[in-house]
Amino acid sequence: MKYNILEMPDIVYGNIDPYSKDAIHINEDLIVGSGIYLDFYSDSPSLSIKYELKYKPVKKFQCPVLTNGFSYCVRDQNGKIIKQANCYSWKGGAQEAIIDRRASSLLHYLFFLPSFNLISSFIVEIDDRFKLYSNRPHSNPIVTIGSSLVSGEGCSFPNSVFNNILVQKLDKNIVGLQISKIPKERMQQILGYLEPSFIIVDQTFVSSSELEKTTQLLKSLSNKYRTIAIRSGKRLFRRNRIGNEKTICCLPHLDEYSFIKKGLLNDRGHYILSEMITKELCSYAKK
Amino acid sequence: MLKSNGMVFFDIFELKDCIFGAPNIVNNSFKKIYDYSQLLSESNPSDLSYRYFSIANEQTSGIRLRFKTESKKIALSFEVVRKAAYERVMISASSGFDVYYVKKNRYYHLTVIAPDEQILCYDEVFELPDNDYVEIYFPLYNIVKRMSVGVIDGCLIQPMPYKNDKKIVFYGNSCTQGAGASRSGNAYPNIVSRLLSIDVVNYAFNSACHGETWIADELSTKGANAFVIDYQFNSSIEEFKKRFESFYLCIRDKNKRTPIILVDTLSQNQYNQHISTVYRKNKSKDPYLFYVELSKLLDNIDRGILSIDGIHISDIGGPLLAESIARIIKRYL
Repeated sequence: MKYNILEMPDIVYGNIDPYSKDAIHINEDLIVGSGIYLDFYSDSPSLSIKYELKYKPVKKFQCPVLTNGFSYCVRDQNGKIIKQANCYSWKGGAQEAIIDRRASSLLHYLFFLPSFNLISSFIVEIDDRFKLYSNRPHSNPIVTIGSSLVSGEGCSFPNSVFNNILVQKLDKNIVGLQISKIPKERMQQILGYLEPSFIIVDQTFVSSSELEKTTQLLKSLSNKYRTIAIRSGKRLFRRNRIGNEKTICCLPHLDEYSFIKKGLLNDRGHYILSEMITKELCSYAKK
Repeated sequence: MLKSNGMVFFDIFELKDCIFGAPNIVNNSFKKIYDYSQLLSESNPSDLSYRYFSIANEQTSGIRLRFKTESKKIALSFEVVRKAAYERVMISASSGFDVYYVKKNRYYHLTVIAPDEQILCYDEVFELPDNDYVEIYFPLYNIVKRMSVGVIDGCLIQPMPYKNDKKIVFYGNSCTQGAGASRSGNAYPNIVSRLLSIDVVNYAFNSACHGETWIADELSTKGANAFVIDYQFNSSIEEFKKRFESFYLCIRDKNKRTPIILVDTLSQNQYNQHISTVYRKNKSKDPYLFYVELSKLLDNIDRGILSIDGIHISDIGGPLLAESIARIIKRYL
């Protein structure tokens, strides 16, 4: 049985409108593919993926697996990781066997799609008589708004993007919105549609225009939604004090190993950022 | 010397005193091992292993340019050989030059100069803050065909040797070469170099690291003050069991009181078991033998985030490995 994810909005997350007819391509406000993930259960003994995308030569701060591959993680019913890997094809597509077992058992699958690339097709193939089950409703996601970091800039593979780490750490639906790609009115429209349970505004390494835009956004959001803004230094923190101060927190000092260059976090930086957001959300939940 | 746009360019092969970590500079190219004809006696030139070795032998991982200049601007102009990206290595690491400056004995990362995929020739100019000297790390996974450094006309480039004449020799595979790092300064041997302010030579041969005795012979004569052996997966387990201990013993034979550090892999496997066995067998009679257990060192970090493929550690784990190695070596310098 083959499932084209373009026709399976129930299992597609991280996009803005999962019930659009064109589930993958609806993410028009982001670079297509960035931040999209599949989250489902299946009891099929075998599962494989056949995908096609446009092979894109990588830019200087990118890795082919990030832009032309995908990451996945398979867990059993106790949450134990059975398989975790990254797939890549320089031909821009391939068929990958993910699970091939003799007996049927219910497994949880997470697939993180490539960043900064177009996906032509992504087909999940399972044994006949078995099904895919969606994991959770799409409503009330945690929304992260920020620079190109939310799309995975600086990472070497999709699994290391801070948003995708959060999906696994928090076990919540996460939607990432890149501020520079979305006009102000459209952003309000999107947030109104998504009804976020929490908004995290990442102001750590935004450009000056992005800082202005996110600061304005924060002002308008803080009364409507539970919001956390993350900033990178004391100076920035003092200069732009806004809204409820308790909702603003500073990223701890990052060592030189966390950057590819100034303002561009690598896998280590994304990991530290995800740890910090998790900590903040946990402490917020305790209050 | 070439002049252009108010800058004067020096070919790096005219700056040999500024180059570190390059054991052999032959006919304007870098070679880790000058004569590897012994490899030919074991394989023929069409063998994959021979081809991989020939390429890795000229890749510039571990090479650094250290110099003083009063110029406030620097230009790098270079040509590399490979235009396609390695699937698991970021372009900034495989083909990029990673620039640091040093002020009052402290390293500051400045920028990475790297081309996009498919681009072979590239140049870029950048501003240089007030500094004592500059250190530039060469690409980890590419061969540098041509490179020149430009400074403002009238300024000089002067060599900046290390304060001590000590040296660490690394021998290993793709991990040692820096496959998981996001830029060349983050390859763990280069971090060790910065942590200890010491010269390193990185004999990393990705996909062609087989622990041959003739290589051990070659390395053991380099006058190193410490050795790091990070050799595992390129050999089959049978070949590894045959060669690993004799590789270590060969180096030990000619370097009686030099620290030798064995590094294992991220996951529990037969290679790690064998390294552990060799370590336990020899430690009682060899006080200068050490063992860094990578799997234990990074035990509390999710493997799916730590590595792109379960083998090559990213920048999350690299600095931790470098710090462990530096801690051991520091006691003996």
